[in-house]
Amino acid sequence: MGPDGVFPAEMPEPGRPLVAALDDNTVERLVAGRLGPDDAPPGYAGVARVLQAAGGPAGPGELAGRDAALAMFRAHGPASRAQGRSRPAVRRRGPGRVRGRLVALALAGVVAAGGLWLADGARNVPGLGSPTGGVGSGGPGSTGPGSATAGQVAPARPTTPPVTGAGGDGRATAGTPERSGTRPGVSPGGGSAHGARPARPARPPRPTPEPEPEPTPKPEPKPKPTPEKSRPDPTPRNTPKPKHQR
Amino acid sequence: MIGPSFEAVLDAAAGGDEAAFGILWRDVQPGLLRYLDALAPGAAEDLASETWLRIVQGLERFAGDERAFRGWVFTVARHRAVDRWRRRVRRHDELVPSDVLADLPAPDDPAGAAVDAISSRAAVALIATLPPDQAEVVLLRVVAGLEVAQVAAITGKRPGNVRVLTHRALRRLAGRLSEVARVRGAV
Repeated sequence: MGPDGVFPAEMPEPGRPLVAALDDNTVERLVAGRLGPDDAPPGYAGVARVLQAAGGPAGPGELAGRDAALAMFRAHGPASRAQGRSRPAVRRRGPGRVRGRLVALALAGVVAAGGLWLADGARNVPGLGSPTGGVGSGGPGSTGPGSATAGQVAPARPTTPPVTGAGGDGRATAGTPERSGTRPGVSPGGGSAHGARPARPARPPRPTPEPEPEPTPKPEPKPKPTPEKSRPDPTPRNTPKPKHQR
Repeated sequence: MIGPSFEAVLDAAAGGDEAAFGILWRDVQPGLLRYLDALAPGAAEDLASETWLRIVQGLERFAGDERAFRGWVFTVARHRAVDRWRRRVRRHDELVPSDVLADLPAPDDPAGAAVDAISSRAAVALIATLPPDQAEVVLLRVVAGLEVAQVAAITGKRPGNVRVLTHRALRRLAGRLSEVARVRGAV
């Protein structure tokens, strides 16, 4: 601190007038134009004059564009929009919104139908319900959709392996959903092959379930890529490791 | 400042009342021009027109008091000025042949002009010679009549930083003016 309570960097050079440091209140009054040149601290009379002039009343040239501004207001202002705002504008918005809502409703319907369908399929999967019900319902309906549902619905997976070993061996219709259900799983194909010999007529449906389970493996490959994604991580991680060790 | 009647004036302008908009315009336009003249010399009128167009288009959606309205106007103006600056930088059209510059008369000393005439134009020109962040803070406070918090919001600075910049700007102005007075006294 210097002799007058100012930092050395604020001290004036020799021969230059001292400009005192201001407190916040004085700055506020100066900025607001409430502090005139006569009342200003030493060295700030000119500043007070300049600030008052800068915030002073409008000069003649500064309001010259009033007519143009009013014309712009007439052309683009609320009044003009109230005239042009209008049904066409609402109509323009309307179809888009209605379309969006229709699409949303359609999607919701598809999802709901799919959910119901999945629920039915899950019920029809033999082993989920009673063995008799599973077999009976699995015959007609479960070959196509049931196979897909068995793959999509998560709880069906743990149940399908026991089904293959338990009761689905000799039943042709039950073989297809089991296979489709087991595909994403590990390898009960061997077990199902034992029982699938009499179930050969079920092979024709194979092409139909094959495209359907495609969405089912999707969730499984998803976890696979994560470890794959994590592969590149270790490499940079491995490189910094020695850095940490260093 | 319009004062207590601002809300009624704003409502009327938002409803399409031309006279009410004229009151708003008359109150803000001088400060707007001064601010823009410091930010973008020579383009203040155009930028002010662009600013008012935006204001008119959004007038119905605005809600707030007079200070908030002024803050909104000057925020839009600042964006317009920054956009213009970016466009010109992208186009590189600010390059002027040096022979043209040589023919131009030397500008008057803003400090001397401010001391002499103390017109608002000279005062703003003097403030504009400050470092840009200091000049903008002072102009927003003095010319636009905004509070520290509003200036901080517009410029993206902290209120404490705005206060510091204001202090420095005033001190620098004081030093410059007193030096001019000293030189003139010596002459």
